[in-house]
Amino acid sequence: MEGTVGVVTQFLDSNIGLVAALGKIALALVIALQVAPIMVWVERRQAAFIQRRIGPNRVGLFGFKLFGLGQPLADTIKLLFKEDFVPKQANKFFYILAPIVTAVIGLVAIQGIPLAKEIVVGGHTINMQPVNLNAGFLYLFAMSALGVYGVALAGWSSNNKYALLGGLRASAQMISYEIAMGLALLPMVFIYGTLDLQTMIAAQSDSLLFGVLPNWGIFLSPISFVIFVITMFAETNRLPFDLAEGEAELVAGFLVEYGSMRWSLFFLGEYAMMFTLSALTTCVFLGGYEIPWLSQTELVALLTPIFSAEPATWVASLIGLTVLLAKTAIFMFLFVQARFTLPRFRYDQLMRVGWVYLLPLALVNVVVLALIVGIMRLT
Amino acid sequence: MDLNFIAFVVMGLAATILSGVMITRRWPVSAAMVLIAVMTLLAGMFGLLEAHFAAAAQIIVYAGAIMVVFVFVMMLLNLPPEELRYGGVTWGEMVLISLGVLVAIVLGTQVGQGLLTQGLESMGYAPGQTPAHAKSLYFAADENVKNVAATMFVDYLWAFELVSFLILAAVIGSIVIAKKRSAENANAA
Repeated sequence: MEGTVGVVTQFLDSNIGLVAALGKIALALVIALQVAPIMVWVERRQAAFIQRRIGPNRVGLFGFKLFGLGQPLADTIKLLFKEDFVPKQANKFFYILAPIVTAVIGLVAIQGIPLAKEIVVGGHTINMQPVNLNAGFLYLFAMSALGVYGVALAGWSSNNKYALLGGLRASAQMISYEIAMGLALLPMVFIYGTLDLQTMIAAQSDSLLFGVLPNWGIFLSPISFVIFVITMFAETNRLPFDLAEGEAELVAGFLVEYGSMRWSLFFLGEYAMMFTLSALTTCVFLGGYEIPWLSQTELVALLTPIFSAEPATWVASLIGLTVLLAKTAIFMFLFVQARFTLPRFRYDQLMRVGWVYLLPLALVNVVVLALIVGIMRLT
Repeated sequence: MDLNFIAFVVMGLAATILSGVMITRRWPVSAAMVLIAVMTLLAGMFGLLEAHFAAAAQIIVYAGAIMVVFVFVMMLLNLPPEELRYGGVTWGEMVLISLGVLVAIVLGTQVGQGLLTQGLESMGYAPGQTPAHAKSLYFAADENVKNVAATMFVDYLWAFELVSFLILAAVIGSIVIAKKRSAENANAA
């Protein structure tokens, strides 16, 4: 028995990088997969509250009602046992591929989010960002850019005019808003002087204005924050930008021919992407996993006397992860709230918002902040 | 065998095979989709070579922006293969194919690579050494983005600005050509 433990410890010691990488990927996947069911429930409940209904509050687990939290489980079982239907004239290969593309890209994108500050296990420091590229959040942009193919393919392969129009709308919309989105984040890159999210978060643990405000990106560049949040709605095809679905004119757009589990794969991908972009906003503008006025380094120093040195980093990271999820939840709730509050844009309005208002505003913001940062660097 | 090497070989093989698949597709959209897969694989290979910025740029610019426009137009026209013209291989294409094979032989064999690097050795660069431009790195070798930016805006600033001017001219030119067509069409109608 002890021999086995020894072998396992030795294996973990020599392959700590690989084991840690797999562990982090699994953690991010678990988080991403939990987002869709919980958000479906939140969305239905919130819609019900806004419309003065009760919403799903019956299905519980093991005899407890739990405000209807068992509803997603029941929904999933229903979707799994529904008939799996492929339209006769559809391009079968791409029809099947499209939802997989959306879901996979959503699940891959979330790997670029720093989940917590690094932890120390057995003398090895483990960085809690599953994919930590030197190009920083450009990885998230790359994944978000690929996200359009799921929708476009679904629209094209369904062999349905409504679906095709939905797919075309989605691709035009996503290209238009990607530019404003990138320009909104550009000031943050030169304010913090890095593309790396962890360095950005570390910079945000300082305080601003003699300790009154935390040094968050939202206070340094509020216009960037507003533009980014708006483009985030457009990139994820959520109301008021869900022209790709648009029930009123396009039935359900690219989703019209999809049913059962394939349809819910689109949902999974969409929610994972929403979560990823919300977490990115949190990391860039709201200090990520840092608690305001109490940085992770200070937290570890506080916890070290209570626990010993290594478990202190684990507890601090756990707190950090909770803080990150809480901040991200604010944006997720904003998505839901906006969906049942705002009406849908018309397509020409959508294009005008993107090209005539957001893009020039983002450009002016970049120029002004570049001048300010340049002058501050000189003095 | 380390994991990076295995991943690199798998990605390389997949990219090569998929390139072959791409040029034999009958539906334009299928070909475009396979091309996107190839580009993503190339980005993965760049990433394994520690060129993270090139990997991200490959996906953002090529797969995420340019190909979206291509796919958009293909879907808008949505021509079935029957309406596209497919002919036999012409002489011009034969010449191009043989040129491609020649390039593959030169770049893909050790003899060919030796021929290419012969001149370099006399200038003081041995094969397998850091390339010439990397000798003047401004930041640490793993600071990809900063090094790309420094090289672009310090060493090659003029070339960079001239190229952007060229692209601007091309954009204006394409707008002029498009305008002319629509004006002619309006006159005809």
